[in-house]
Amino acid sequence: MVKVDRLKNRTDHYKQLGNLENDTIVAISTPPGEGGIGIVRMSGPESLNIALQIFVSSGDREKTAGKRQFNPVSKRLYYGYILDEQGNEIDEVLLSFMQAPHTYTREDIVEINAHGGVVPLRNILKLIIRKGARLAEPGEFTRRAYLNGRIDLLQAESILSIIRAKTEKGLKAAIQSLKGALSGEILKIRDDVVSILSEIEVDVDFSHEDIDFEGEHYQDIKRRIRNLKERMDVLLEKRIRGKILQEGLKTVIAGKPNVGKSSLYNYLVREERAIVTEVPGTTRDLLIEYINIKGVPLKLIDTAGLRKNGDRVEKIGMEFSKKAMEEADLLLFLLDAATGITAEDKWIYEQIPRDNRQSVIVILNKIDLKRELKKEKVQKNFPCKMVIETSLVTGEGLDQLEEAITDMVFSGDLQGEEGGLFLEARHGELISQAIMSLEDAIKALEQKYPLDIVSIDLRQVQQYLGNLLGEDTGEAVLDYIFQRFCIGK
Amino acid sequence: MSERIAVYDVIVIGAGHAGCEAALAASRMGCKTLLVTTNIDHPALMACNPSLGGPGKGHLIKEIDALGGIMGVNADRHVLQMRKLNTSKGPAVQALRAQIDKHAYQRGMKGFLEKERLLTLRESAVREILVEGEEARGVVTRQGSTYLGRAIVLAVGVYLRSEIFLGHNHYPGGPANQSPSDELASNLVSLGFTVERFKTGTPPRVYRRSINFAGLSPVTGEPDTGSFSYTTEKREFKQLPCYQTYTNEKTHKLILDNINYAPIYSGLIKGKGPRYCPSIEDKVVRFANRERHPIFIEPESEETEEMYLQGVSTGLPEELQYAFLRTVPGLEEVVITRPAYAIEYDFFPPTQLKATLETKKIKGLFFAGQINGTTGYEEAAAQGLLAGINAALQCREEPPFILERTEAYIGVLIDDLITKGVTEPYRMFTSRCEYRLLLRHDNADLRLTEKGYHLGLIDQERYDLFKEKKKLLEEEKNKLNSIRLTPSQPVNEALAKIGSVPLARPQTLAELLKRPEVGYSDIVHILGEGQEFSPSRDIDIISEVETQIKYEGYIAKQENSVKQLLRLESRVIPPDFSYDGLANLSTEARQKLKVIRPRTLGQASRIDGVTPADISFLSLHLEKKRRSRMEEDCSMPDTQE
Repeated sequence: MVKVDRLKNRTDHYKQLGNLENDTIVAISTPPGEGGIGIVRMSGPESLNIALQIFVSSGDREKTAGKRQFNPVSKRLYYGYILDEQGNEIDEVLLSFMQAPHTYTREDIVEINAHGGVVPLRNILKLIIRKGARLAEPGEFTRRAYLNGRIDLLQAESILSIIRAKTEKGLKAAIQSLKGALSGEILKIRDDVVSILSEIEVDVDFSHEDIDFEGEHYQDIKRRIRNLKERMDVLLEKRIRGKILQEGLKTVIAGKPNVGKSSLYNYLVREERAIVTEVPGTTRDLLIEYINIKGVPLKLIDTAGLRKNGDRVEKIGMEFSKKAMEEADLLLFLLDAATGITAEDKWIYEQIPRDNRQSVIVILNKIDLKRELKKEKVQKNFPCKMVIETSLVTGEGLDQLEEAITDMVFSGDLQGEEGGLFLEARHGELISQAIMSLEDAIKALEQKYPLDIVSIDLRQVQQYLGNLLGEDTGEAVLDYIFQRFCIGK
Repeated sequence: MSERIAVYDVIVIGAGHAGCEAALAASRMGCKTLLVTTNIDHPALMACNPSLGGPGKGHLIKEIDALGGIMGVNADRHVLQMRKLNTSKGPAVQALRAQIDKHAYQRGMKGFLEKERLLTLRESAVREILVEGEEARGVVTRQGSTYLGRAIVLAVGVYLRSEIFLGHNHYPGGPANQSPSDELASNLVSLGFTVERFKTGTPPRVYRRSINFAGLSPVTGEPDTGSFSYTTEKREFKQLPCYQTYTNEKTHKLILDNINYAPIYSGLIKGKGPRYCPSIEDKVVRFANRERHPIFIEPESEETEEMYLQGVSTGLPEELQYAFLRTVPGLEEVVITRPAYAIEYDFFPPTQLKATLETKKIKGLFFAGQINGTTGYEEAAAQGLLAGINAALQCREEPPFILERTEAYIGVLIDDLITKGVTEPYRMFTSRCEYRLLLRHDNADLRLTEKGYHLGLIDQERYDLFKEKKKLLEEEKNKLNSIRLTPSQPVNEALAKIGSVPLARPQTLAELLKRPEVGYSDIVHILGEGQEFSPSRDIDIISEVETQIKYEGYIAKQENSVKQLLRLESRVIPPDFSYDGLANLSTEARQKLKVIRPRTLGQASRIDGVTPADISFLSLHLEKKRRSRMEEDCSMPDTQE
């Protein structure tokens, strides 16, 4: 009898444990780029409830909300769509629900396999956070798995150690890249937040001490916060398009002069940045741009006109080009359908490392002109992933090209670089949370809330940036106040 | 022998702001209490500024009052001027600040102490704490008497090895010319406590009649501010003016020319002073581009001619004090009654304390006030109250009383002290408090009176009043949430008058009150008297309801953050938990954790140098420990079977 009671006590104990950490957490649990599909994972009591709010199964799609009857069975995959609050489709997904306690964390888990790439993935994450889940801390799923008795201490520790190593590597990388404009800008933004906060705080905490400081005009603070938000938007945008996604797929456009590289580049970037002329060899430097094709981040590199016998300046460019081709995740190799295969084409192809040739898409361009070169011949001469026929003049085949690129990513044929990706995604999330708090602050200012209310949102921003930079926000505001203002009766 | 040695429950050493609160709390909680002080006429001496309150500090007084402490009650009786600060800056940061008659304040305090049945005041100086094993047993005085006690609260302020500096002169001494205690300091060091030095200072006091007030701008008080204590009957306070003047370039030049006489610049003083309360020489050096610094002239008491010169604390010698003061408009012929001085003193880094303010080293020994590295009457009083309460609870063998950061400024104060330690004298600011919208000065009673009542510090009468207020508050909120206002011409005209958009559809009064430009009084005005509304006339209720409704969204936001924090705060770390076995902790984290010995995972996460990864590992091991304990329980042989 007694034993049964003890068992019961034990159950109660777990229940109580659950109560300690009983909120619902969410994270992107796959590195973007890897395997193409991203997974958003939720764990906690609200998981299913949130899923029901944002998911509509393909069968229910046409029905009005009231008539939908999605009621998932544990451990089965469901095909459907994630819709935002306005009913707009964010992505086409596979959703699975795993019912507690037979899950990794022993809590209810929902996993959403999204196909649309990194941007929709992050939008899904944001949506789930808006619905009440909390962004998981690094290693939190594992911690819960252990706390709820799913894995043993040794397992948990080894997993956490890996995460810790990654975290610290990530932090180190962040600190090292402080030279970079991006991190430099984050530091500046952090300083500006602290500066605004201290002006609010000094006016509050030392208001009776006549510190010769007129509390900043409300309007001025509003202007400065708006400015901060704009700068953070840019930051986030840059991050989404480039670095954060480590660092997009390195995509190199190669081909002989005048084959249409710049036109392709311009088409993909959709801005007239690269110089397009009739004279061969004018694109001498590498052009780099971060772009996004249907959610797949690309770091697009246009090689200098790669030629066998160039002048000295071109030679330098060529060195860069060769290096880029060696490191490329994806190579877009252009051939001229009107001229046929030339020695130069062959020479350029030779520059592509042999083991990287499965990353090559050959683009047979200028099919609007008189055809000399057939697809079959290309395939025979240049082993590659696939050949796509295009005309950059008429636009023919370009949709297919985009399809092909995204397909390659999602089929798992391409692998983004490994390492620190999960954390990078988290960093991006912290930035967008900071932006949301800035938006709240602006809203509060518009509603003429007093500054101490606005400071609540700004502190939140400071907190997020502190997490991002791995800093303790502690006394930053007070330190700033004492440095800048002469306080003290 | 037993006849001659007096035995008490609680012995409090020092009758400053901390000691008085500690002694009163302990005795009111039923403990036979002894309060030992070197000068029985100077309890709660305001050794520096003649004022109480301000942002952060005012919050502390309100909380002390809500828990049944004395500071607010006594302050209200001796107000010379009262102001409510930050009224336009938002609900969280509003605070009362009062000029206090410091002589009357002391006498008032003495009265409270003398009236307390279980409390004995004794003029004497303690030279030694009696310790047996690792438990405090009593004290020995300079006069040779021994008093035994079950709990000792040490609240000796800045008197430990204190040294006063004026220019190149320095001598052992404490405020009000009381002699410092070197023996007690040595005794504490020999007991194993770590000691450090801080520095602070006080400005000169001068004759009122030597000041030329013509041309100085008066700073006046305000009516209808409310009071520090919930028990003070609503009344208007005295409103004596203060005056403001400024230093100028002549002042600054004189100080800079003689900067070598300043003990902090000559290198005589090594202790660190507060950044928020720099001496005038510090201000002149560090803010060289400032053309002037303000000086506030404040009355010390109604009974004396002495005025306090806020803003010019200094360690310069007396002649130079005269010289620079006389360059200031209004002070051309000033006569000093008490020269300014700088003071250096011992304090004990507060990381040596538990959240109850009991020392980790010696059971039954509590530290409160400036010896913990804080500054300010209010900060001292708050610690005294908590130490007194916990000393009494220990005597009563009841669980300790701990306030969390999420509950009170007092909680923030103590958590900061014991978790982070101090690098300069610690003063409370509202910006130290993460949840300040929840911890408003005007809801201190709603947050804490219940607790004060259960401790036995709030009497039944006051508790009933409090419950009545809570009831009225709920009723008022229900009323505002249920009564709807329909759009009509008079309503919309009235709204237009206060710059508010007209009603398009019926709205509840609460929804209307959410508009920034609409106040409770506007609603009363729009609705007119009578009808179903019958508005409240209680200012406290109105302002509380207004805040709760107007800032509902942000209050919810902060409550949500509190919930997040409590995830970690509710995970208790056993006091005997060993950090040595945790190989995955960083070395720095392990060292700090071993010293601080945090009470909860939440407190651990606030220690500098402890990373989220460390907390993850810690969390795992806590669970492991708990499980292995449980296993032990389960595998115990079942004797009943």
